[in-house]
Amino acid sequence: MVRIRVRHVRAGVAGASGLVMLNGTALGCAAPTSEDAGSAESSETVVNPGTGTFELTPIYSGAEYGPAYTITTTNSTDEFVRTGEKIRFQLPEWILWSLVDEPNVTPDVARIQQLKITFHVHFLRKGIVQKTVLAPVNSWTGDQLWNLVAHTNELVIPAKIDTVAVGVTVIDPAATGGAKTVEVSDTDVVQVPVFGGEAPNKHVVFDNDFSTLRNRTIEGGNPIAGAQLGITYTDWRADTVVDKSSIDTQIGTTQSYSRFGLIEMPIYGEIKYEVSYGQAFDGYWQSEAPLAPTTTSRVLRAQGRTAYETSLFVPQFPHKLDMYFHVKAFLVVDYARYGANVKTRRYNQGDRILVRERWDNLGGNANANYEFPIDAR
Amino acid sequence: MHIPTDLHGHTLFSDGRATPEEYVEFRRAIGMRVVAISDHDVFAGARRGAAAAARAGMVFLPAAEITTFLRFGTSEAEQFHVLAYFPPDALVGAKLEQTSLYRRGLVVQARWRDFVLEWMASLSLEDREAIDPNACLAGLPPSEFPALQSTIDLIVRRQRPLFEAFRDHHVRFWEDDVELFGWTPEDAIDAIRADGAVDIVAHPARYRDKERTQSVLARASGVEVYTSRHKPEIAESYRRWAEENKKLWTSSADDHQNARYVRPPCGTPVTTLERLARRPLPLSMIIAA
Repeated sequence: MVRIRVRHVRAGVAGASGLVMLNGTALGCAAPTSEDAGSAESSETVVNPGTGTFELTPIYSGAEYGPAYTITTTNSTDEFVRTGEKIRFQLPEWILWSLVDEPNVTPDVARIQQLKITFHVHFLRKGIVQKTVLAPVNSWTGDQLWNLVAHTNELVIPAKIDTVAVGVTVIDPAATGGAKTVEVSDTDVVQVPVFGGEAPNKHVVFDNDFSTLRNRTIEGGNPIAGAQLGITYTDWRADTVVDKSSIDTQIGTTQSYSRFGLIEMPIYGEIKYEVSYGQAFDGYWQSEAPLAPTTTSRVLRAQGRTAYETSLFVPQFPHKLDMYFHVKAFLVVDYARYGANVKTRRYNQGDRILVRERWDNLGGNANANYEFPIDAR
Repeated sequence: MHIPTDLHGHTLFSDGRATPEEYVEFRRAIGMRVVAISDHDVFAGARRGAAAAARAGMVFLPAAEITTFLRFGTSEAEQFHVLAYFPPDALVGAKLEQTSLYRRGLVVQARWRDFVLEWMASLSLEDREAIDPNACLAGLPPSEFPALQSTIDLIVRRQRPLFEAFRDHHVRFWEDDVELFGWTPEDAIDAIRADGAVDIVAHPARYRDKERTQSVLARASGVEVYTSRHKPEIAESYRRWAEENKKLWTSSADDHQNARYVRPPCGTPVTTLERLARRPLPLSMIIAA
């Protein structure tokens, strides 16, 4: 992950949570430019980027596993954030008060609304900050603690941006012992991928809505001749295509212990996929090639999931692209974590058994593939 | 119209083994549309479960299986469980955290920590050091202290001969705490409703006192019909009873991740789900069902 250097005043008092306490002092940002929120910059790449809210959200798995916060995005379009989207930042009271960390004080609405909150919004391209916006909270909704939410003005995600990084500074003028500043550094917040900033390059995602298979060009329109086309095939789509829930994944039994006493419980293996693809521009088929599994997909925003990805170069003059996918499901056998408690084994340790194989093309029919018209550049 | 659901199951925040994320992911993979985590008396997994469900496009209901007793403190005492379901928007802001049931859950976690530490204090130094070699358990806050199954796993892993002793001892956690558990199912139903949640009697066929169970059911908002603890013919009889008496009814597994998962043979009625969620279900979900 690219880290943006934020200069902490008295950063030596940083706690394990990644929060830095400052005593009412200002902080500076090393990013190249800075301006107030509210300025708008139109995007040249996405026709209808929509609107959205970005909300700072704790990650409960703990800071030792990475950033302590993520940004929950809610968009008027779909789950993707695009250049040109008009966004507001918000913070609900319950997160805000946990940041202030005044355990012996019972807050009220007036006390919360005294807090001075500023989002530090960094727009990046290929890991380099292109622009930084300071977005102060200047309005509130809700009139009770449980529904009180702080909001910033609207700002627009600039063109040619591929990532948004966010930090937050909260100044508590009424803190016990004098005013203090709490900073959530942008390195403590998972970055938000932005699509549309790499035009004419585009991304096609093959995923599913429960049992319905679907594909979408995230930036809209068709793939562009002479540009790159990112392909993402999701783990959940693979689950659907091979009907994972109908695969018997039991690999044995183990002695286990519960409040009901000794029990013999089933051990399950793990399903791993190999996904490959075939592609043809104007009917010229290439050899089937593997998609690379990744747990850091920008399309899935990681989230513990696996995507299978590649990037194709679209030649200068084709009219259409045909694609199909080939999914192999393997049962991976591992008894190691159960040690000497294993009672029965169906397979050998380390086995990797092909349990299902499916071709994913339109309607599941041979020679009926996913077809994309190609637009001229 | 029935929607595939699992509205009763446990995670490592009580006597289950799965993380909230694993719990939700398993159900997504088998086509569930509406899911609840219902750990015993605590809501500790709710926000993590809700986040996982939101990523998967599923509806998540914050829930808990509330422990009550029939004839608490007598030789005929018997646990009786009532499920409490909050609507998804209880997780907007801090509404859930402000309910009395949530706060009771925090007390349950704190008492559990004290209960385990007291038991460990009664052990020999050798056993105590075997279980907790770095003496770090006492420093953990209640929210991070190992819950029941995790405590058992810890004991088995580090000092296996103490397993039976702890298993025999652990039931006193419920049986000795009149303040937390000495209430009746009717008391719990009132508390659940006062918090704005919906009460559903869990696995009613499990209770020995059939007459009293019927009395509680008559008062409750609904009944858990399909569960791994009900034989098919028993489930069908409760379904008929619920439909005749205009009660809500649900379909779940009561999974603890210690046996093969038993998928409910039927979903939960849309009318029940919309009452629990306090909002219409997405049309696409109903059409897909």
